[in-house]
Amino acid sequence: MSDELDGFDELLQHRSRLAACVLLSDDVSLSFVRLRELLGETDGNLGAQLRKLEEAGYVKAKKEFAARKPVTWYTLTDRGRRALKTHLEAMGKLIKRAKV
Amino acid sequence: MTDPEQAAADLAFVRDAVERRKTSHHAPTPLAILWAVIVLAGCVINDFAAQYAWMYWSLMPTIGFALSKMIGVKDLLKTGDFDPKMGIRSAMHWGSLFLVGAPLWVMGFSGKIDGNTMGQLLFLVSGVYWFLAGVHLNRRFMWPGLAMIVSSCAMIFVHRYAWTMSGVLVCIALLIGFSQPEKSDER
Repeated sequence: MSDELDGFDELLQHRSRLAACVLLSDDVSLSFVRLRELLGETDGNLGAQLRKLEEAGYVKAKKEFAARKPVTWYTLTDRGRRALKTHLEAMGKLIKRAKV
Repeated sequence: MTDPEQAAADLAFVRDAVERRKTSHHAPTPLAILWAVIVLAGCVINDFAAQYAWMYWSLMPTIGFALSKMIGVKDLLKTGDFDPKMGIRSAMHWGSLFLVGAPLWVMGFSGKIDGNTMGQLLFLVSGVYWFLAGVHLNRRFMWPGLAMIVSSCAMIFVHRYAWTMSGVLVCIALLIGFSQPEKSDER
């Protein structure tokens, strides 16, 4: 079991943070509102989760104004992509091992 | 996280979010209305005011392309979902239609082919482009594309009001196509 534990990323153990990174891993930019809609989170909770990812350098936020309304766009950084890949591999191994 | 059941539940949550993204985005309906109007008006002009057809078809595709871009950007800001790869793919697909259409246009202007034949060929080429957009970009373009291909072939045999009938057919195919929900594997 210790091999799998090595690959787990503590930040990505929260499912909303994990889902946000997976959604952004498709080389897309998603707005805060879009992420909230897809993840079914409240403003406060999602904001806190995304801030953690941003502080860790996993996602990059860019603020813009559209029709005089502020829009925050999120993209996944290279660091976030690497962390996500390692984390998903560890998750896959764990599930596979449990099924055997 | 070391609990496999928890890991599986988290992956199911992620999968649902990804699936929701695929199914909750719709190509903007104003785009379908715009092109339904452009195609229908142009086809009616071809039948009933052919002297203005050159002018109309010289301007409207470019205007339509510019308006489509504006609608796309507006939709992008509204949905908050920007896929640059898809944007580039769409721009290259539709932009290259001008490159393919240009030689046909030149042939028509230089008198190598008559205006009606040029129109039919442009309609056929456009139909193929729309159909392929349906295959590669968004399924909703498939039916209007097929309608254009069938119409351009039918024009060989039908002469009276062939353009108007084609325009109505494409218009209906566009509006029906864009009123259908998007399939999950389209994005």
